[in-house]
Amino acid sequence: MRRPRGETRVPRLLYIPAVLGLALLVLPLAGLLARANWATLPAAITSDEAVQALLLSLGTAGCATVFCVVLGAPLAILMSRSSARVAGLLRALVTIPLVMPPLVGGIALLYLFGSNGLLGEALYLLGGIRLPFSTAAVVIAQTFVALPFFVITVEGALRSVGTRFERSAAAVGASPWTVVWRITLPLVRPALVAGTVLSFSRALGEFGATALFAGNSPGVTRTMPLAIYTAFNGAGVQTDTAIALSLLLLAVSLTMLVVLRTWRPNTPGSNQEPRGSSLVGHTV
Amino acid sequence: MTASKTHTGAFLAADIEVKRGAFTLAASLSVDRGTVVAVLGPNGSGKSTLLSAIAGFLSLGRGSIEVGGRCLSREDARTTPIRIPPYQRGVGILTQSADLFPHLTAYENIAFGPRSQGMGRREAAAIAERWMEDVGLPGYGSLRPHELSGGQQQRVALARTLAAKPRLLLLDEPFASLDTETTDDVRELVSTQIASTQSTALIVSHDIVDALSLASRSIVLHEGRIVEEASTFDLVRAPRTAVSARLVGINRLEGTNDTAVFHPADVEILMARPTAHGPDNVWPAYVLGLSRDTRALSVRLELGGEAQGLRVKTSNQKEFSLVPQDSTSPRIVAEIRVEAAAALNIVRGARVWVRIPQQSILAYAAEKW
Repeated sequence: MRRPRGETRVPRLLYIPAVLGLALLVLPLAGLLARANWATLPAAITSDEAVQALLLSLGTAGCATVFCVVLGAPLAILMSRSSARVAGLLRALVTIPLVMPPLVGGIALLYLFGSNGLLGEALYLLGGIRLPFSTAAVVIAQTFVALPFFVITVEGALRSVGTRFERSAAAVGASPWTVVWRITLPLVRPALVAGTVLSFSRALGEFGATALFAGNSPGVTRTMPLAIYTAFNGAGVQTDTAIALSLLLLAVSLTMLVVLRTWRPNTPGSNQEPRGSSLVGHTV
Repeated sequence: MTASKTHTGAFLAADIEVKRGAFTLAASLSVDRGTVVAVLGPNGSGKSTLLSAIAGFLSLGRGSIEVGGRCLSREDARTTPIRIPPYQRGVGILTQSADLFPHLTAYENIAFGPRSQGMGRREAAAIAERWMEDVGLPGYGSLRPHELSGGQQQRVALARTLAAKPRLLLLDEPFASLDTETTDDVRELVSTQIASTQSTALIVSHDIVDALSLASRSIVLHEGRIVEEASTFDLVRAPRTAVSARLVGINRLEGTNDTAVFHPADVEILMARPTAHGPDNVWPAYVLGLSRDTRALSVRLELGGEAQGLRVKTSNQKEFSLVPQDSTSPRIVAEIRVEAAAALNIVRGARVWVRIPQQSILAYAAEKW
């Protein structure tokens, strides 16, 4: 089916909104770069405050991502293997934090873990634990907003792979644990990677829930987004710092994407992976 | 036909009832040690449900499954149910989609079973290598499933299933997704390997050739029930039910108390009524359609006039009148050479005559299905 040169299958009118959309995505970044004060940039991003915020961000987002994987993978497996009705209900529950404004999530967390909250009071009475406005609260807030990304991504992949390979494995004598470790999880490795990257990015950028539930105290709960907000809201001089921190956060996120490469679910071409790595992405 | 008592002495003894929505499978069957039994039936007859229940992927509504004296499933009102999970059953299953683990090499696929059962890495690798030779694929072990052809994948799948040393082997339409030539090769391999491993097996198929080449005994399943159980040879020669007759491609005509069967190749098609035909059966017929086989042409025919008017004379000196089934005239299939069809100008809608020699028709007492 050869088509004459120049003729496209796509209506040309589509180009206008497409280009506008792309511009909306790209131009703000260009604006940020244009506005950056490159002379003071090195000093701004190596300042104690910036380094402190960055390390706190990486640490808390890393912890939150670990929680997402450890809690999210089992949840995704159970969801993908439950009946259509149960799975639908679970999916709705998991999606709520995704569509809920993070600020509302922050308030909700505060009322759950706050000193008069559902769990907060018990935690304080039993163990003297006060979660709000602590670094732990940052991790909880980030996990709260990032977990849905991981679960939805992995669950979709598990569902599309189906159960036939697990059946084959069981039929040759593999125990349920062996099946999970050797078959189920390796088969959705691309989705696991994608889910991990997505949830880390989401945790790294988390602002609303953190601000309300964990507050904004330097070194304890002031992550990068909060540091940027604080700098931006300060005296005019600080705007440069805000931009510098924004660029730093952007750089960290982009590095994540580039390093992990497979940031889209079911990236094609994963079959060419070298022999040494025994787990290969599988597209169904 | 369904005997509800348990079979004693058989290696596989299953007497089960499984409900799936509106469909109910109620079957009782047994397989002796070291033998292969075929379960034949049209689509939706419950064949795969039967295998899934034996493999443990479906729970029983009622009944029991025993393999080699060990009870794998039991559901009844009186005793505690037994539900051995699939991985502890020792029941291997080979399906039409090879379902090789896509992230593992052929070797790793085969070694997976032995490894899962606790065998050491080196020993399992040696077994995998030997199996790749046994299934005719030496040197292909480090390839991944997507690098193998459909037939090769099915060979590896067979090796993977047998390397796990199943006590009972279940084959679920194992050749259904292979092309004709590959099917012959893989079928022969399966046959050889079943013999050399002395496996006890149950093969499910809609193709009579699978039963002929692998199974000494055959069971015919229809709408969740066993309608016929016979040696494969008897089933092919003289199917006792309409379902079986359709499966094995044999014509079947019914009278009130008698049934006549004959092979499509014994039907001769004539353009005019023969003047003298002695003891042969000669009937008017109407061509419903043609379909092409590899060498022959199948002509679907509806016998003309009122069915009551047609008399059947059979080789065992019986003679009876045909009765219409489901208020349609009796239908048969004639198998003729392509050239014959062309010479006679047999087309759909043509009115013809058929002649079936008396000695080609076998009769016996009618059965329900």
